[in-house]
Amino acid sequence: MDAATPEVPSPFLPGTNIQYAIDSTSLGWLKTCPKLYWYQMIEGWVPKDESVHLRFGQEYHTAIENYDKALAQGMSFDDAVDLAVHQLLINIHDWETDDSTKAGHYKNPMTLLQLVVDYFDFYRADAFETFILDNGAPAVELSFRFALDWGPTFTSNEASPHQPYLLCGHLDRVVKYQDDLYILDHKTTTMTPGPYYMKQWAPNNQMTLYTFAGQVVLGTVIRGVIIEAAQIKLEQPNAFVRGFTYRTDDLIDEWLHDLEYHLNAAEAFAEAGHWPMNDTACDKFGGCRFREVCSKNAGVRQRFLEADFMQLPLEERWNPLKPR
Amino acid sequence: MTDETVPTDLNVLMSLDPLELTRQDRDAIIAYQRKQRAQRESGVKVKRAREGAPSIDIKALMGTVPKPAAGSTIRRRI
Repeated sequence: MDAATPEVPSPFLPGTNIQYAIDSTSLGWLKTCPKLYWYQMIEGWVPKDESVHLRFGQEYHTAIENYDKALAQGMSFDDAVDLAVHQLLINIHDWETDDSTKAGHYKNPMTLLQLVVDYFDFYRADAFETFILDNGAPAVELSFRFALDWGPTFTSNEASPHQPYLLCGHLDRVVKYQDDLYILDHKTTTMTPGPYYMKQWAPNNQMTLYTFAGQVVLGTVIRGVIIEAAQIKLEQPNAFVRGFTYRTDDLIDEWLHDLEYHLNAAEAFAEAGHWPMNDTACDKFGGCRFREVCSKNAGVRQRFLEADFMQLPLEERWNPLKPR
Repeated sequence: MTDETVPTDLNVLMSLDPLELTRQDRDAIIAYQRKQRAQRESGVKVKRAREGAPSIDIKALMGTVPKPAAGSTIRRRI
């Protein structure tokens, strides 16, 4: 980290593994399986080929962010495309992928460039307008961080007895359509974004959090969340589909109420120093990445972790407080 | 870039320093993506660029188009 980069605070209470700064990713790990949460959030283990998926998604998001901001600032379509593509080419110039792997075959600089150009052309005449905030800025890559009215009950740490939980995250885009505001979230997938794909978003931890967060930070009703799926295809044209998911106030209230139980459980795991395995979740989402590790005796898991995963240094581990 | 040894293959164009690409170069790259999409839409099997893309005559694109103005506040997401 260079001298100009401010240090990012830890999302944990000092001297503990009690996470007070929560986002949908870390909360999703916790809800899926405490052991998964421990591997990723506490210990920082990531698969060795994780970087391809992360990099692809990040660069895709950034390209669209640049395009949306350029359009919102009055740039022409062609100029906005040129700006976004140019920055993308700069960003991915040093990105090398292994095309012999499935991940690299679908996600590499060339497929990313194709996907991004296809996206711009597909949504050129978009009926959804980027919402402009009160400060005049377009609501693109809108970060949020706000406190809940409760916090960890952990009292042994006198340094932070009143730290409330913080809900953090980033809204890809807020759009206006027929006088209603929606949160728009970009997804890339190799799956067909049909009814089966869209079903996964209700109930869904991330979309409920985003609906709630949008209402809090914008101070107004959020009609729903738009999942904007981009399907990466190799021999056919890339496909783009939008799906909608809605949350009533009752559903959000229920989610918040349940959140208190989940965070209480997380605090208990941290105080006990043990995160139990949820062995009914191992086959979900295409199979947990740590399935092979967890299937081994505890005494030898470290060896299997080191073979197929890398442990990130503290400053590179997932941190909801890290700015974008 | 006006050197007589300027490469003409798209792959090579993509391998050039992107900061040196002119607007015409970038337009050519974007046009190639659109052409690829059109071919896929018409059912033509297209090879991926890495497996031997059709040549784009860069020399024909070279001209007096200035580099884009600097000063963009785009930041790269880590």
